[in-house]
Amino acid sequence: MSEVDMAVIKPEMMKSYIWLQTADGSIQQVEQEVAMFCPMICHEVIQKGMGSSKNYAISLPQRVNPAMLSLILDYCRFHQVPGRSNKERKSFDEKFIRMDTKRLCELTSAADSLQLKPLVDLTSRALARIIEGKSPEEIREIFHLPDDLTEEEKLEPLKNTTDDPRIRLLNRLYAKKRKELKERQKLKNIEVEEERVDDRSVDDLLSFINGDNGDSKGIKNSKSKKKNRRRKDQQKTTSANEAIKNHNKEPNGLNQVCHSAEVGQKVRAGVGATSNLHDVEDNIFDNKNELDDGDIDDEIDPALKEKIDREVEDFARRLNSDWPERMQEILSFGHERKPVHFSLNGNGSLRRYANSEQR
Amino acid sequence: MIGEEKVRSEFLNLCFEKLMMVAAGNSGEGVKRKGAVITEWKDIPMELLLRIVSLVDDRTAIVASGVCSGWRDAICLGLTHLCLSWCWKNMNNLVLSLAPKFTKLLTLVLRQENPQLEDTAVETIAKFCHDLQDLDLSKSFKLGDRSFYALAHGCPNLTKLNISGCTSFSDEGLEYLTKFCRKLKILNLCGCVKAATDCALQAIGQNCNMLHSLNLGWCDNVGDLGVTSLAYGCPDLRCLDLCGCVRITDDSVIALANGCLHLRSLGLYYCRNITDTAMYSLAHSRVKNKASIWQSMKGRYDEEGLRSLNISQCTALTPSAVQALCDTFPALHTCSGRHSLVMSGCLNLTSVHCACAVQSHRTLNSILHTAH
Repeated sequence: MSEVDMAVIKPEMMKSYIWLQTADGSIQQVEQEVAMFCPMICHEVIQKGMGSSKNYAISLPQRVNPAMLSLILDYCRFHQVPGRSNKERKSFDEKFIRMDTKRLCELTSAADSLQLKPLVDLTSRALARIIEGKSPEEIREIFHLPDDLTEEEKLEPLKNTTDDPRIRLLNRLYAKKRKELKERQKLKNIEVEEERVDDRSVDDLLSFINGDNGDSKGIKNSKSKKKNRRRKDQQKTTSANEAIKNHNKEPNGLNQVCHSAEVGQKVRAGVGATSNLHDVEDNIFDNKNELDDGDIDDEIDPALKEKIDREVEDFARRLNSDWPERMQEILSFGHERKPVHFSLNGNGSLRRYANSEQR
Repeated sequence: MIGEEKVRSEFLNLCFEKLMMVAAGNSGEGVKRKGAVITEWKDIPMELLLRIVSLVDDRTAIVASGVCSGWRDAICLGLTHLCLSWCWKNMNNLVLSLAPKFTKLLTLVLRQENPQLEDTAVETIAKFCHDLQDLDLSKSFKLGDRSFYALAHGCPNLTKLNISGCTSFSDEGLEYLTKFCRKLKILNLCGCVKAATDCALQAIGQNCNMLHSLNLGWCDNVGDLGVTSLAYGCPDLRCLDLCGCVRITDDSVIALANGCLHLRSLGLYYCRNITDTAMYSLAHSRVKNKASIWQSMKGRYDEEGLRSLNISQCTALTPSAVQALCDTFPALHTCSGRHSLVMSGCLNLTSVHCACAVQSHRTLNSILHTAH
């Protein structure tokens, strides 16, 4: 009551405020012109007369939490000012959008519940750009989605969307990398459980395992090929493994793949070795893949593989959308990503070892 | 429609919630992930996800449908437009695996650069995508009448069909299709020599009365009989392309002039048998029907009537006839800005001008005079 009186008495001195209440119960007041930028709030004020005082605060939808509300109000505060140029608005939008995926999802949802269409469009487009060109595994990682489709369901359309054999190779490498990471994790867990430091080299382990299982000579021969390559770069393996673990979250797989196609071979051999320690299922899966890919990939020598990887990456990027847009994206997303490697292409244009850009 | 979508999304949300309970319960190592999964996924309701998917390219949309069961359900229920023309080798298999999933498709573009599509794929589409309205099968050389029979039974709501370049279709198949797909509005039969015959056109005239646009380019089996039946059977016809239909004579054009009062675009390229009679009949029908047309579209009189006419290589025409036509239809232009009366190869028609070309010529003359 008294607040209403105050509002009436000093209209020139006080800006009018609207009271908003988020789902968690906290109430705050916002300048009227900023809040009215949201259609939903506007509707509440005009149609229902809410929001004029603390007791009659407008209850916001559940999807709007205080953090998101403050972001949205920042957006409204900037855009409701009529005098801004399109260029200003666009650059504000681009800076505004730079946030991690989780917050972006929350923001999209909150903006949608407040019916703030321009912000919904902006955030949707940002999310669309994130999804574009990614494989299902990567999308699952980014959005923390459950992996609940059967293998068949997952593989079917993918199998047919990848027409280029080099992109298929890339996909396979990715799949292997994922498996390797999983195996590494499991291996780590098992090591922790066993609580003993194993100083034996992988070679010794391998021969120990092979000897135990009484494997046929055939397997030994195929493994010996990998043994040779492994012996060459054993130091690389350990350091690369560290790097791989660090990059576990962000799908910068291509980063690693390009640098160390050879490592891929080694780690795969490692997987072959460790798979004997684990579930039969894993073993079968590995062997199935080995059978599928072993023939083809074993014939490709690592240097050529690296070359193909680079070609695939080029090819994938060439298939991508506008270069200027890409540049903008790179510049705007730049500070968020882990160190991105830039190098000069043959024709002098900037080349980025980006993450998955397959099409 | 909106209510239906809301119900659908609520249902999906419910399904998803149940799924999350199960998944969270089962996964041993999922304790940390559980919180993250629920917060993020729930934050994007189904409509928003569909909106985001509509912003990405088709290939990403397909990939997204294989991410998790929630996304798969949302996309399979919501995806209405799909184009697979970017597929170079596996389009047939892709269609075979996707058609059963994307049952709500309204538009499907399967134009190919190299022919891959086979009858089995079209049969699968017809089996699952009953809501299909727009289908583009251009350049599918391998398709045969089996596809037509399948589409006839499976996709009765087809309004737009493009089978240009599909040379293996026959006219029997097309006739069969028209009996069932009566809602066809836009039909492209360019290059379908075997399919576009007089019999087929008669069937179209009988069955597809809502037809707006028909492309019969390079179908040299088309004759007067077919076009006449078409003209009287499809009064709403607006665009007709008879380019390369060399057997056509004036009778066809006269029939069109009398039967299709809303005709806006006519292509007669290389129809060498066309004479002045055809031109005069077109002009005359416009004048004759002025009263009735005026009634039906009071404000838009100038917009109606022929807007575009291609009489290239129709060497039998004389300037007076074509000029009369040009005068009758104000929307026909020869001026460079809005060139819609195409007369290439007709060397004797260079004197024909549209009204605006004459006007500008006149003003130019008057200015020159006053200068003196």
